[in-house]
Amino acid sequence: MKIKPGIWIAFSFLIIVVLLVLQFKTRESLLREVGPTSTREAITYLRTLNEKKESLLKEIEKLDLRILELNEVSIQKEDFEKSLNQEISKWEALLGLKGITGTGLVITIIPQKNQILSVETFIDLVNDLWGGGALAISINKSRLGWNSFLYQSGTQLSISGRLIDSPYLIEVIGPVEVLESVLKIPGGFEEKMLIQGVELEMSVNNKLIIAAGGIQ
Amino acid sequence: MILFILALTIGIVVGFYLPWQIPLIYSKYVSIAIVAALDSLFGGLRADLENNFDNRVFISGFILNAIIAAFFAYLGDRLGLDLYLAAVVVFGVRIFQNLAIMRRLILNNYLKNKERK
Repeated sequence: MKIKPGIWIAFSFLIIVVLLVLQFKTRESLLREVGPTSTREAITYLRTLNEKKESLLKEIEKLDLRILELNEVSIQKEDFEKSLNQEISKWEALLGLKGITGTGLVITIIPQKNQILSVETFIDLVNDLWGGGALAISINKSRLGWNSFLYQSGTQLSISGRLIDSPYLIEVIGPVEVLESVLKIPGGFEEKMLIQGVELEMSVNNKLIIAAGGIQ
Repeated sequence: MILFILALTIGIVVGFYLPWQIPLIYSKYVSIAIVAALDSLFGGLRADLENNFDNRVFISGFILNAIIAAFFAYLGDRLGLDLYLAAVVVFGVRIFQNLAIMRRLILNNYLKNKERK
């Protein structure tokens, strides 16, 4: 059977069209990626790209400055938060709400037999210690907090209602040298104790621990 | 004419929906092959109009011209010589020649038919 020339030509045409469409698809995706093809278009495209690049560089410069500003603000904020946290910790320690560890003094007061120490003696001692920069004070393991009170009933001494007996163990965390000098000052606590005939022992402890709370 | 419109439609649809693309490195060679195939197509049309169409000549020309043109382009690339330009020029000139001859033949046929009437 002889096939008509028109069918052969039409079939060839079909193949060419398929190839053309495939080629268009390939070239179109390429053009979309690469952009222009002619030299003039390329120059225009390049100029546009350069302008875009310039504006983007300016934008980057602005954003860099903004980043620097924000970093500064962030650092300032961090510093502020840090100092605030330090302040909070300090006040928590001073108020006896937080356990504290550090170098401090251990003072042992041993009165003579049947000798009664007045509550004022302890109040003076505590005030001297606070004045010397104490961060935390405990008497017979009872932490002095923000609302602790010393009280004397007859021969009995108590801290916020809790009885304390001799020998009295006072633990203080703070600047040891200052605290010692405060106590040893002429006419100070040590001298008063000597006059009263009370035995006083003082030692430095590098790892003193005073728990939070105590009697509140 | 209907055959051509049908071929065009089917070709577009098939080409569009084929889940395949010509790899970019072969794109140039396919372009040359298309130009060569177009030359053969117009040659075939011209031969048909002149009533001396030969299937074997047409098919062999269609396939071989396309392959040789693509190969020339490839060779040119390898040699660093724009050999594809030779194919483009030759096939381009031939396409226009064939188109001019076809135009004359169609016009002559049309005028003859008119005179007969």
